[in-house]
Amino acid sequence: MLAFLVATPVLERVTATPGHGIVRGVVRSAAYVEVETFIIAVTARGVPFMPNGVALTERPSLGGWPASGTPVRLQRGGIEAGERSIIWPADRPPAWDPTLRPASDAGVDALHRRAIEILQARGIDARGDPATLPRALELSGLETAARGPGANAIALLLESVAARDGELAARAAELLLGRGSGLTPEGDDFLAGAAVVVAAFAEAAGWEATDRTRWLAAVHPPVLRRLTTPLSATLLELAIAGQIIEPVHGLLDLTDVGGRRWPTALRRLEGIGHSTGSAYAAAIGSAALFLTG
Amino acid sequence: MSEADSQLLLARPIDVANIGVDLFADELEHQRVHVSRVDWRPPAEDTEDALGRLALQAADIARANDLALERIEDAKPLLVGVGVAGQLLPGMSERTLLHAGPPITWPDMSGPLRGAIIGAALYEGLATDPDDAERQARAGAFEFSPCHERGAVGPMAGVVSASMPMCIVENETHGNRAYCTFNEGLGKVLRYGANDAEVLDRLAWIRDVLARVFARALERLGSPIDLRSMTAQALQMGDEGHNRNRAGTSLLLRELLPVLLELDEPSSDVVAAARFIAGNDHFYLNLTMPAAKASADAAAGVERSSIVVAMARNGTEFGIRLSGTGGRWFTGPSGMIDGLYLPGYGPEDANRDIGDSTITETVGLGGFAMAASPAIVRFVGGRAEDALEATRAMYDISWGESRSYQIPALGFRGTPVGIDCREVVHTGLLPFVNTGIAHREPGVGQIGAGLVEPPMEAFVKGVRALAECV
Repeated sequence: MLAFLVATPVLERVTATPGHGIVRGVVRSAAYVEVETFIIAVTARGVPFMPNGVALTERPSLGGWPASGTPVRLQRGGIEAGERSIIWPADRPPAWDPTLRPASDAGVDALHRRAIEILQARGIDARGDPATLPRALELSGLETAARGPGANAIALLLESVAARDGELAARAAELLLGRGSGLTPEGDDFLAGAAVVVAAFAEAAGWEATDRTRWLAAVHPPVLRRLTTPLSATLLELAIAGQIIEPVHGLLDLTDVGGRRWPTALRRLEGIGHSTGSAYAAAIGSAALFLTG
Repeated sequence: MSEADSQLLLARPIDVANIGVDLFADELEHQRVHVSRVDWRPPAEDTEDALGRLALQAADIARANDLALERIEDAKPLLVGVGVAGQLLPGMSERTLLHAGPPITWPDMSGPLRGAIIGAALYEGLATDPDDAERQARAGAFEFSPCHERGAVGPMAGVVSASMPMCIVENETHGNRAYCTFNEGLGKVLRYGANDAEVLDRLAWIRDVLARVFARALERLGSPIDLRSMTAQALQMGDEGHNRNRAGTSLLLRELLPVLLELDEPSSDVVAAARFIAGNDHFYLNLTMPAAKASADAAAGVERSSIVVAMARNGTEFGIRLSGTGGRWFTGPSGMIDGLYLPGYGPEDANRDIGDSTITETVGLGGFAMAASPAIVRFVGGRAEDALEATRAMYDISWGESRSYQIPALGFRGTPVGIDCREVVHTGLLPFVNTGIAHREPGVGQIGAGLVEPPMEAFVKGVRALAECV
């Protein structure tokens, strides 16, 4: 199988320490390979690029993927999984850097406007404060925001962004991590969406570097892998490093002033997983709103 | 079937023949049942009468197709020089703007084509700004015409205006000529509908520097470049002549480099021209296309022939012309491309299929030569095996095999050439086309590449029209 693109976090791991792993799970459009504590997502053609991804040129049938439990060998230029190989040119790998880098001339105002546009596009009234926004998020379909600990956690998280407060962020993360079902619980997705906004835009929003570092460290508890799934933990760690699934790049492309392209990025993001993309979108809109508000 | 029969059937290993739809075969194979797949599709709907009438004339059509194919195969397209569109192409006024594909009017044009029209109007000084160009286009101030109807071809939007330099390709065997602009490279370029200052500056540089240096180099070579021979070599080196042109571009540069160094031109211009060609893998595409056009045009006008002599898309419609039906276009909606998207883009961003570059498939290159270019799947998606299968499948709808374009991976078998419109309709097998994907908004550029199926409707119309002719 040929790789069309390989995310740089995967290349860094493969290049630095060729090693071994195991296929942890297979679904119709992806296979998940565990290498130490990092999960590599090998995805079929058409799946949005993952920050931990190897995107194939083809769409294998379900039987075309390596079976779950297959030992994996990683090396420069490819991944061997039993009888299957995923290859790319070792000397010129088709690298994709998933790091979200705001345009140098993108201002806070532009981010604020985009935040409102994203929330409005999802039918969310953007006039709320951190305490009231969870209700609007719940109405838009975010299950985690239903009344109770989830809603409190989201309110805390948004308050932590508005107040640049690491302690509040840590409490919110503790409540959100692992909340929901599936490979990436919805609470984790929301946290990752907020984290990438802080990672990418806090500096532009006037945060001190120490505040940003403290906030990002706070949403990464030492017991992360006991609180959620390995895939979700991997994606959260990448989000904290500013590395995120590809449609988010289009969604937060603030040079798209006329708004001709970000709506399609939002639609593609919302199409990811059962609730993952929607949770990302809600989190990105909300966090960006309070980061710049 | 009774329960006893079912039990008897299931008591022993099952061997299944699956005809048509793959879904059943996929499910059975998933359950580890051995399946023999039979590739069969019913003929296109409501074509029995037309196919029946053509069947009665099969011998005459075969003779006509032999002649058309012979003309394609005997064509010897040579790169003879460079000229200016307004002087070379028939009926070009300063307000004529040519485009890819079949005829189309402003209201039906897609984003990239509109963007390129606006860019060409600005380049020619016909408009003061994009809004002015759009206003004039809407008001009918420009004459729009397909490149194909003026002896030219253009990739993607394919927009040609009067002062653009054109490469001249002459078919030495039959004496006809075909023309194409210079390839602008990737990124923000006119052919994808971009029209800002960067694009216009590059077009001006192509006109003022590249075209001059290129023309002088061709003159100094002393003899024209045999494009059939060069393309044949490129196929042996991993190109397929449509989406992969790295080998062709390298071969061209190898031919030109010695004379470029000898030119009595400012060295900065020569260096810039050489760098531009070397840095643009698709440079050779704009020579493959007119070479294909010059070959296919030679096969046009053979009475009763069912061979396709042009396939082209304007971003809204896909059109074909048949050898035996004169200059008529038979059209259907342009397809959406299934392929690999660059980061940041997906199918929602894509324009429909666009460009005259399917002239390459018309003469046995591109999708028909994919087996020569396993690396193409890195651009258009799929597996290396798919590239082989694509070419193999095209033999079923082609009248012959190329003598020049050979595929090492198929034992140096010639590529399938001469699409027989009847066979497309009869087998339900559409020509494989691989192509770039343009963003639906003007100015964004290429967002991916992939495979696209032309609309069967165009071939059905062609078969019906041919049946009326015979």
